[in-house]
Amino acid sequence: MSCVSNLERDERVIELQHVALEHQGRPILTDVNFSVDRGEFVYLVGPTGSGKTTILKLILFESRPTRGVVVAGDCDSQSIRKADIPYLRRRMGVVFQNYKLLRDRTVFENVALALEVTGAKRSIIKRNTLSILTEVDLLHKRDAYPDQLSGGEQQRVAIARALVNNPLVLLADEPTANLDPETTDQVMAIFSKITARGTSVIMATHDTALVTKYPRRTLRLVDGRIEESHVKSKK
Amino acid sequence: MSLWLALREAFRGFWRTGMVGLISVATIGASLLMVGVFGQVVAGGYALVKQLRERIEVDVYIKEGVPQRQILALQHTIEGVSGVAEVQFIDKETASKEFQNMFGSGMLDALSQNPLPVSLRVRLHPEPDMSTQIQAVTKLVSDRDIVENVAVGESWVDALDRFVKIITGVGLLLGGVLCLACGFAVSNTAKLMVLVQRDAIEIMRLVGATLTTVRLTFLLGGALQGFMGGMIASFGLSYALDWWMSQMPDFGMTAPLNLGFWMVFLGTLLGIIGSWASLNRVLNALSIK
Repeated sequence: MSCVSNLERDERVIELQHVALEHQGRPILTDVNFSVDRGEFVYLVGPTGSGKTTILKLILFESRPTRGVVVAGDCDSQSIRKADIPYLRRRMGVVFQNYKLLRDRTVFENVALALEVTGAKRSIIKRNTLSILTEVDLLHKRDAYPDQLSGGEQQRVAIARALVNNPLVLLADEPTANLDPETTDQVMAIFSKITARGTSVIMATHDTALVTKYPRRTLRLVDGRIEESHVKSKK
Repeated sequence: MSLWLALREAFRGFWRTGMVGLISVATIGASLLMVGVFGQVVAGGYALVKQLRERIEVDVYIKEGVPQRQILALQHTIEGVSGVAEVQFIDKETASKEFQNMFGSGMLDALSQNPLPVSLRVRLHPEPDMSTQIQAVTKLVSDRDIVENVAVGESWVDALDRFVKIITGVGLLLGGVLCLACGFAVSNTAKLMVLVQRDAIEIMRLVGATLTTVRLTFLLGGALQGFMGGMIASFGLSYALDWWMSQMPDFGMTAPLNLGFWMVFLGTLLGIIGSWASLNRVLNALSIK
């Protein structure tokens, strides 16, 4: 039986135990330990090159740790079957700094793609896509192409694509790095809303001002290890 | 797995390859058309040889004054030889009529009596190894006292047979080279399709597309090119046959085994194989796992 099927059961959504990763003999992560519960918002902070994106890739099972284990529900990096990884990713949403939208597709098509790969029915794809576009306030732009949108709008499209499958966890890699303060507020408001609904958010950022403005549990990456700050977690 | 999604992405990928994709389709079309024309010529050649073989006869001429009883006995003996389809007794009158039909009556009329001998006309089943059967019949009858002469006309058919075999060999060689060219063209276009669709693949993988869906997208892309190339070849061949029929109505060539269908089938198959050959390498190179 697939390890993905029991994903919704556990309160603990993601856990990294003594995770180390080397790339071409150079240590990126040395001993990373943390867990994220359902509906929790967690910052992953550290300077550029500290390994934030690497941790997100490990959680996505895009790469495997050299030592230690990454756990998502009943799935773990040591035993997960390659064939299960796509199904696990359908329960995770990903948002990038550079949005990663497809320029030759409309807003609707970009968002719908995440449902199409699951083999969902067309009626469900249409309904859920329109619903999530309404939620991120982009329904009126559904037929626009990414190049016709502002940076903030493009990021909201990327968030809509990440959320349209109703994921258990949203992984956001510097999602506000290219946004102005007002648009950043909009994005953070969306994240707050989805954590309230039970979706966990792991947000990698090097923006300490943002962390100060929206205080949440913060995991700081220092020399390949996690130092947890004492900011109280807000769900 | 979403077949519809893979098909749509295949069309999109092909569209985005632009001129390279079209050149690939044209290469497949031209190559398959040449394979088809060669196939048609070879098939026509075989049909011609078969027809000619059906007409091959061994004429066993009987000496003057041999009793009919002995001739009939020889006829039964020949009928027992493997590969013999029919043995026909030709009496002097029948031989005379046939001669007159072929050459007119003037020559025989000048003679006081019919000089044409009685004969047994042996027809054989049209099989590839007819010369062995002919030799068997010849050997059986040539030593008989009642036999005057044995006439065989297979040598020119054997020459034609050899010619068709050479053409077949050349056709197979050329066909193989052209099929490789098709595969190479599709393989290169498949690589380009992967590159132009790289962002789409990466995003599809991140949102949970299985590798099967991604692979299927590009295999369908290759199949699409091959199919279109096959259609071009099929229409081209049909046009060429019509032209041939209008120019050479007496040498009719019909497409054997629905050649148009096989052109499309072969094109599609080559498209899939060409994509498959390059896909794993390109996906690995792009770290798409």
